[in-house]
Amino acid sequence: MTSRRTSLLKVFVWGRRNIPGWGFYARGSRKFGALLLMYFLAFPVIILLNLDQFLMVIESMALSAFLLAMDFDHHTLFVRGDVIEHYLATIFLVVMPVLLWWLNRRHMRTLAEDRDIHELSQWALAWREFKKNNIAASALVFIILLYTTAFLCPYIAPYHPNAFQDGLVTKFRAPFSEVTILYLKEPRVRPLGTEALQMRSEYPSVVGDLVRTNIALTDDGFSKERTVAAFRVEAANVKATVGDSLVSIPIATLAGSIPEEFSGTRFHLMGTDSYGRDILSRIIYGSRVSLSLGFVAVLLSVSLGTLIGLLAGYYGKYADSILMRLVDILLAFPALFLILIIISAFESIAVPRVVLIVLVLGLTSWMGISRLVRGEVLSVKEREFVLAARALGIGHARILSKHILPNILTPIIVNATLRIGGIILVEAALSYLNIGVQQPTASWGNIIFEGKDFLSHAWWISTLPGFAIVLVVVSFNLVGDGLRDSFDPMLNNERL
Amino acid sequence: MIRYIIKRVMSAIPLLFGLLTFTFFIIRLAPGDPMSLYIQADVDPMYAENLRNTLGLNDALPLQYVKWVKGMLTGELGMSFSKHADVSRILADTIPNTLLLTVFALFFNFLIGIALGVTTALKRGSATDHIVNVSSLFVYSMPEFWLGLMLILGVSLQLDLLPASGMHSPLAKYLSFPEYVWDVLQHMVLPVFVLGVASAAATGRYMRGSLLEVVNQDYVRTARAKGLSEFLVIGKHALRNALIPIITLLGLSLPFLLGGAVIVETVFAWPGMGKLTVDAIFARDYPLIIACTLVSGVMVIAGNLLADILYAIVDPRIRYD
Repeated sequence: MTSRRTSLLKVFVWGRRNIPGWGFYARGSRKFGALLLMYFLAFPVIILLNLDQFLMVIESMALSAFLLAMDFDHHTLFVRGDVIEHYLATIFLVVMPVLLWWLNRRHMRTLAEDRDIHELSQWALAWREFKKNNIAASALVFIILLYTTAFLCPYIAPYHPNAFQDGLVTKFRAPFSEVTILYLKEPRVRPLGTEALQMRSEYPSVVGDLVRTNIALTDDGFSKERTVAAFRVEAANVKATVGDSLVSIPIATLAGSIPEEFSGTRFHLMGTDSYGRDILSRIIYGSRVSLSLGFVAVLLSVSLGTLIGLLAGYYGKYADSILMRLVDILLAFPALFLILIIISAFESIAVPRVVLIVLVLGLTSWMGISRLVRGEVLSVKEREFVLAARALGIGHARILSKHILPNILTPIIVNATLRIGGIILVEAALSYLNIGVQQPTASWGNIIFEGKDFLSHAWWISTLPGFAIVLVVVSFNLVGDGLRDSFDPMLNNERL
Repeated sequence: MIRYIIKRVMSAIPLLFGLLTFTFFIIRLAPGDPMSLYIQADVDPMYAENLRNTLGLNDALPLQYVKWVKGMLTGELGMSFSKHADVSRILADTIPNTLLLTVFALFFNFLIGIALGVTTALKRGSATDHIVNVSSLFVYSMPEFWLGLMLILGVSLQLDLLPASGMHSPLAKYLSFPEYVWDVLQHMVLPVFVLGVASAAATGRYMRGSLLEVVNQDYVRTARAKGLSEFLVIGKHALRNALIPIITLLGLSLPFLLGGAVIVETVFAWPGMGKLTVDAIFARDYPLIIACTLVSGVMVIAGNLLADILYAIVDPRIRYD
């Protein structure tokens, strides 16, 4: 009895340390612990649900790694852009739970005893405040879920975002509609031969395996299916309606002999667009563009703005007046004009459009930050601890990075969070002017742009991605507001 | 004060010139040909070449720049490449259209914004406060083109209440004057709504914060203590001071009058400055792009100046010397 109890106790101790969330839950952070535990457990569940795909990606990665190491000269033969996203998703799927496990374990170790509030850092205090703010915390959870989905979209999206077939049958399907499909015995398009590729490498059989795996991986699965509006069985044939015509398909070519075996349905939760592509899948894939672009562009603009603001504020004199006049000139442009002029000027340069947009958005939106930072630096640099550091003979670079920057970080972080929403809106607006991310790559803005011509008979195409944008921007704004309040508890008390 | 204004105006001139020079070079260094319109199967290639010669596009870049500076100094804005008309003429035709839209939008923006801000600040913590706060958060997190599309979808296509796009009906020129005005008004409702209401959400938030800050000040407490009615306390003492940042906001909204409606004008096919600029950029119509930049740059700089001056007027504690 006692030995069973001790072994059970051991399991609990082990679990608190090694299963993210359990420890938090047991220590009283019920909500946070439960959420973390569910998030952690979602990863193995996703792997198990997509085990075939997961193993295929692992195989493909192993083969690619082998070829990269052994036969680098021909690596362009087998590194394919559309496979990379599967690699990234899979790496994320494996690394994220391990990272969570490690962070949790470390946290549980350092948290041996409750610490006094005075020992907590500014960040820990802010985090305490932030967790109390239910709305902002929920918004943060929502954003984390969105970023996770964006990373894992090959595993989560129901269909390939660009896959479509038989536009006559599949286009403009309303939300919640089903498309009837017939399963074919043989794929309609055979995979390309791999011999030519194999010939050029020293490891033909590995290349052959890799190409076959990659084709299977990136296959949208539509080649073994045929969409029909309706069908009925007549003797040895299936009479199917496709558009206005009646097509006869021999049952022998189908995967089965009775309708239950050879027919099925494709479900489109959010309907399909003018080509018949699944809107939900496009929105899931489109989230990658909006989320990554918003994040990277803000990172770029905040770094640049902070750097320029630091230099202008700290060195003053000529540096200050030159840099601030530059800021004035750039601010005198209406931001959208500037972005339009630069993008249309450089659109023919061989840089991927997403990179161009990130650069342009990042390089045209740093001025506000640099003014903010300059103001903060001007006040901080006269404070005693900076004067003391100077008196000690510490170099400028070190004073800037170790003494000034940490003290002005909170307004920068709050401002950056509030900016991401704005950048996502600008990116969507660029797509609406058709100079954003180009088709067929899905982005929320270009799905709306694409659907605007069909508003009268297919409202869902433009409407649904808009809701996605609104939700994300609202969440970022809520998190930004929450951060501001939690970094500045005085303000919080005054407010209500 | 006067000296300050003169100094600001003088310092604005090099700023504006820098802005235009920047635009001049960036659009000319860009790959792309403004004459691509004439490179077609049935147009003689020499035509485009001759046009390029007459417009001076074949000159060396420094020479083009000198010519352009000369034109600028004499107030010559040049000929538009794509519209075959004087740029100043095009601007004169377009600016009123945009102003019609943006003046109304700005009016509703501040009217609704201030009303919302005051209501929510006075009823802080009430259900009204929460509802207005949440909905304004959603409104200003919306892409305005999407809001426009949704209004077109709901109001124009489904309910058929208002026209979906353009500034007037196709046959408007045959209408009598009152009918014409009514026609334009109907076309204006949706774009003005998108422009005005979306910004009213932000203005309202600003106003709420500003009034809340003022209400906690000592002089408001004093006013209450001497027994003034709540209406007088708020209307005469609190509100006047709470409006100071809003007035600055009004000055800063000046550039919006001519450049803020780019997306909305595109969505509603409104023939204004925003749409003109976008079209000019896509057509690589250099003189027109420069002119649009000039107009909006002047507005931005004038708006900043106006904001500072208004600030000093309404708040005598601020001195510019």
